[in-house]
Parts: sequence; C-alpha cells; structure tokens
Amino acid sequence: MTPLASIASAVLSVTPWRLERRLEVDARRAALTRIGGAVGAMIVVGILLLLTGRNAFWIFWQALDAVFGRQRGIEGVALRAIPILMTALGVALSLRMKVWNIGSDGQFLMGALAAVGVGIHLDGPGWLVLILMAVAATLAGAAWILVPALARAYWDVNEIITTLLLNFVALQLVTWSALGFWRDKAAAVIQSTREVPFTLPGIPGANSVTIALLVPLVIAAILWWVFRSTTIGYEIDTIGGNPRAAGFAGIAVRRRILVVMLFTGAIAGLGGMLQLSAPGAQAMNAGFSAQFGLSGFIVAALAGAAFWGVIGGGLFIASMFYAGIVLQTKGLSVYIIFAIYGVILTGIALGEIAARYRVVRREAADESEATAGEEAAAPQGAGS
Amino acid sequence: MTDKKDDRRLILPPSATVSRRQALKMGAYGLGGIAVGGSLLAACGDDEEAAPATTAAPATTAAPTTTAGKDKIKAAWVYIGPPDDNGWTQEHDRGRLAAQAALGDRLETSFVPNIGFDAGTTETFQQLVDDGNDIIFANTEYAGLLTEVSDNAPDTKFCEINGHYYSDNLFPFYLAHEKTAYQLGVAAGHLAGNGRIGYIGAFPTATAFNDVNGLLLGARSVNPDATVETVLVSTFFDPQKAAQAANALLDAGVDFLFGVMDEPTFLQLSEEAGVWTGYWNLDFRSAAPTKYVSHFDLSEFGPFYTEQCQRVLDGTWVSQDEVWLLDTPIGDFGPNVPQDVQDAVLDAGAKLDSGELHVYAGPLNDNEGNERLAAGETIDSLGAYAIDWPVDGVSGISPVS
Repeated sequence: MTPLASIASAVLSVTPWRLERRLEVDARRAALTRIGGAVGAMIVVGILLLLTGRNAFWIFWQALDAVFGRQRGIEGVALRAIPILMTALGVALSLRMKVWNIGSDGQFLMGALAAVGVGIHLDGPGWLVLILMAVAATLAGAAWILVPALARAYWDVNEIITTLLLNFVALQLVTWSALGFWRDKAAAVIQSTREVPFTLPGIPGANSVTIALLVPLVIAAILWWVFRSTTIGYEIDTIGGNPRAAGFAGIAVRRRILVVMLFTGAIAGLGGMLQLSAPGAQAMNAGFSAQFGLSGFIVAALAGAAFWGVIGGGLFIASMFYAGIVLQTKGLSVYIIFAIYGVILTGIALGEIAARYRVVRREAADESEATAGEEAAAPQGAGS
Repeated sequence: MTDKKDDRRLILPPSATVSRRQALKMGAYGLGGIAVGGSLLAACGDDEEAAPATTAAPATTAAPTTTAGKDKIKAAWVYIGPPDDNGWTQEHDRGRLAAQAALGDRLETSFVPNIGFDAGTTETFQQLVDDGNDIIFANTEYAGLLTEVSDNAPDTKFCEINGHYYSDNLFPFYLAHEKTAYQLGVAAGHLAGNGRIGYIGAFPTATAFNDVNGLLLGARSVNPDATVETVLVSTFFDPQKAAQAANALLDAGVDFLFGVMDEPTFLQLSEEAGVWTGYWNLDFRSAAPTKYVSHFDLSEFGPFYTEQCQRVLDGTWVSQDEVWLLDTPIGDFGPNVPQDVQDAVLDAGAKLDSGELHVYAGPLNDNEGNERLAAGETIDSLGAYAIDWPVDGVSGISPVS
C-alpha cells in the first residue's frame, strides 16, 4: 500500500467501509480517476480561494489563458516539461521493477555537468559536439547511479537512501564547478559555469523549443514497446511482481536490477544535457535543476509507472508549474501557489487510489478477507 | 545547429575612458544584432555560421531614439527576497512605493517576490514584458536569465542592480558604498579592542570586496594592525547559515561584526556576545540595542526609481554607457557609540567626499601579495565597481582575477 492508501484505509477503519484492492486495474478507469481527482482538487482550490476573498474565476482564467491562449505559453510548458519528463521516465522505468530511484535530480545534474565539460572544452562542428555532449551526459547519469545500483543488486542495500543522498553530493559538485574549476568570471552573483556555446536546433515554427522535446517522446515510445513486446520487459515486470519467483524462473535478477538502474540514471543524465538548450540555461549554477528530479518522481509515482501516463502527467504538471510562474507575476503569493500545487497533487494521488481500490462495506467483504490478508503478507518492494 | 553568441557580456573596465565607452556602446549595438540574428537562426534550426554581423543593427553613434512620452506607464520590480525581509528587498520596495507616491496615477507598479536563479526566472521576466510593463527593475544581478528576455524585448526598459550588461534597453545601477564601508571601518578601528573585524558575505562580488576593503582600510587608518576575517555563505537570506558564520567568527574572537545579510540574526548574536556590530540595509538597532554602531542608508532607491519612471513617462529614457552610481550614506549611530568615534567617522566621510582622502590610494597589495595599485594611484567609485580583489589584511576571500 502506498502511504496515502494506508492513511485512507486508517480513516475508513472507523466507518463501516473499508478499502479493497481491485483485482485488475483498467487503464481507462486509471486515467479517468486521476483526471477526476485533479478536477475535484481544482474545485476545492477554487472554493478555498473564494472563501479567502480571492477571485477564483479570474485566477483560473489567467492560468488557462497564460498556458493555452498563446504560443509563448505552450512553448513555456514544453520547456518545463522536457526535464521533468526525462527524470520521470527514468524513475518510471525503475518503478517497473519496484526499485525507487530518488536520485534523478543528482543524475540530471551530473549529466548536465558532464555535457558542460564537453561543451566548453571541445571545439568543432556543432552537431558533433552536441552528440558528444549527449554521450557524456548519458554516461555520467549512469555513472552517478552505479554505486547505489551495485549496492542494491548485489548487497541488497536500500537504494532509496543511497540515491537520495547522492543528490546533495551532485549539487555540491555543481556549486564547486561554478565557483571553481569552470567558473565564469564575468558572472558575479549568479555563480555559474561558463556558457556552452552550442544549442540544439529549434523546432520549425517555435521560438525557443528545440528538438529536445522529441527525446522524451521517443524514449517513452521505446520503453512502451520494450514492455509490451519484448522478453526483457516481461522479465523486468516479473522481477517487479516478485523477485524471488523471477529468480526461480531463471531470470538473472541481480544483473537485470543493475542494468535497469543504470538506464534510469542514463535517461535522467541525458535530460540534463537537453536542459542546456533551454533559454537562459547554457551555463550551470546551483539553481540549474528547479527540482526537476522531484517533480519527475511525483509524475512517475502518480502515473503508476505507465509510460504514456508519464507523458500526460508530465505535461500536466509542467502546465501547472508554468501557470504558477505567471500567477506570481499577477500578484498571487508564492505560498498560495505552492498550496494549490499540493492540493492538486493530492487530488491526483487520491484518484490513483481510486483506480486501484474500491470502497466496500465491511460485512459484505468478510469472505474476501482471506485474499486481502494474503496480499498484505506478500513481499513488498521497499517503500511501497 | 547554431553557435551561440559566445561573448554576450560586456564588462566595464576598471577605468572606462570616453573613447572606450563609445566603443562599448557600439559593441552593444552589434551584439544586440547578433543576439537577434542568433535566435532567428536557432528557430530555423540550421547553419553553423551565426556570427557575421550582417543582421546587426547599424552601429550608429547617435543616442538611441527616444520614444514619445506617455500619459501613464507600468513598472514592475523583480525581487530576490520577500518585500518584508527587514533588509535589502524591503528597502527596494520602499523605493518602489516612493516612486508610486511621487508619480501618482501616472504610474502603475507591481512586484514579484522570491525570484531566485533558476529556469523559471526567465519566464518571470518574459511574463512581465508580455504584461505590457514599460520598465522593469531587478533587485539583484540576474545576468543571462534577464538578458535572454531583454535582448528580445526592445520596447521594454530594464535596470539591473549590480549588473554587468549594457544594451539599448538595459543598464546596471549600483550603490557606491566603499566610502561608507571605510567610515564604518574607522568606527571599527576605534571600537574593536583587538583590531579583529568579522565579515559575513554572500558572494565574491564588488559589493563584498568593497565592504571588506573599506572596512580594513578605514580600520587601519586608526589601528595599523587591524584585520578583516571573512566568511562567505553563498546566500543573502538564510538565517541558519548566517548564524553559523556569525558564531564561528565570534568564537574566533572578532571584536566587530558586520555582514551583507538581508536579515538581522548576526546582529542578535553579536549583541549576546557583547561585540560591536552594524547592518547593511536599514536602521536595525532593535536587534542589537547596546552594541549597534550604524548602517548603510539605502534611501537613494526612491529617487532613482522615480527618476527612471519619470524619464519613461517623458520619453527621455536612455540606456547608459556606464553603471549608474547611487550614494550610500552612513546612517544614524547607535546609542552607545562614543562621541569621539562618531566625530571621527563623520570627519572621514567629509574628507572622502571632498577628495582629500581616498579609500583606495596606492601603494596597495592584494592579499596574495600582488601589487594592485602603485604609489600615487587612486581608484574612484566607478573604478571600485570593477574591483575583484581584497586588500592585504583581509582573509577568507580570494582575488577573482
């Protein structure tokens, strides 16, 4: 059970009802309940805004208009979505085998840092340097998760702690590079590295969105295909379902865990390189990742590790964040905006629970007690 | 693929001469053109050669054409902190309200607080441009995060404090405070029994260098053995980090503690430790009732903001070739500062203003032993804005170049 489902279950324990896990999760219902959760949360937000004397209709209109009413808004959402989608896809991949990579922010930063290193030191045709930057970023992202992956795969060390803590190490390395060895001496208050003089080609017709936008879409398609049609995908899902059973079935569980974790790091690392083509992000400073890894993690968790769900959820969260930036310029306090984010994400999480559980009356559910008990005793992935 | 313009920043040389300034101006035009050309090519998504300035605007030496006056304008402020931070941003907001009061119905102001240095910052500036603001003020240096927007918004004016970028619609302004720091240093020289001064800084910028250099040189005018010990905490607003730095310096035994923090935690700790202290932004004697010395007075923001908005209203706003300097007088003294110390501080101020005394007067070495100023040479406030080295006697901060 997710923490939120446990809370919901605890709340229900004083009522004649209880949560019961659905045997099958229907993809359409899963999507609809999440959307329903988001819409319900926005209604709650609207009521709260009205109660505190704010014009909720004006605020929602401003948000919608800012995002969908103009090309700049749509591009702004796309720019915000690219790094979130990349980290989210990496996390979603690891979640398929119930491995929790909380370190995508660090992998993202290290990927970007490696790309900066290549970009400011190599000179040559732009396309070649950009490809080398992408390769370096991918390798650096994978390298940053190598130790947690080895520790998890071969010594069963909890990856939540190891990946999380490496985020802080990565941030310190970025700060060090910006203050020290790659420092841009012309930059003062924003201590940043030197600027990478190469950016990805833009999408025709767009002002600032580059072909970076295509990368998460392609990766989502590949992952979707791998898990739909290949043995490897099936094996990973099997490990996620029950690693011991997967081992008995002859799957090289440890090696699979290692390789999948390296891939999740690689995807996040490549995301860091893509971000270097966003406007104003050609150099790295401590604020280079505006918590993209955390946002990506939320997206992956809420999407239930479904890859197309990640794309939809990532675009939604990016729109929400972009609207938040615009609303700040309209005078809405940043704290109210954070509260709105929280309520909406909680609504989606409740929608996610609604997709997997249903509420039944206790008496009627007596005979299914046995199956529920079995479920609780089944081996659980860490933190699930 | 597009090679991005690789030199987008223009740095004012330590002593800008007229001819060099002219060149800077022309350079700014050319670069503006390249910036536009570059982004056009980026949109097309091909080509390696963005650089040749074929798309550059003609590098005329005439002043930028002034737009016609307006009846009413919109101005926006982008703040790094909250407007009630008891410090830096609060003083800027006081300036905004002063401009509002002075211009009344003809000026509509707004502000966006808590804007840090991440990808969202560019979007914030863009949104303010899209909302039709005529002029936008930034209360910290946002550098590329701002110029990414200003280079593509020629009809909007920008003023960036502590900035280093000059273009047709953007120039930096700066609080010249090396004399004020010197005056506070004179007080420290008298008050710090052991001659050891502590300083809590944020980043190794001109602000910090002029703080520590002024403090040291002022203190040495009284006590030739005075030293300044610096701790940089990479933030202007983080009470925890400021408290750590303050405790470290106080435990080490400094007898005078100053800092560029936007909140008064270190003042309270100084008071508890019985150590003299002062503040950057405003009169904050309440945080250190008995050990308060003085503060840097930031009242010039109001007149500056009013004047820039007035110029936009009149259609006479023009960008500048060099950083716009604002005065930063020393504030009122705390209740326990002895009269002779007050007199010495004010006397030093009068001599600095009359030119009889200079903060930076050669021979001066930096703290790595390199000679920076030969005997007889001086640096004025404009030159001080380009200073990126600490004078000998300052520790904890290194020369940048």
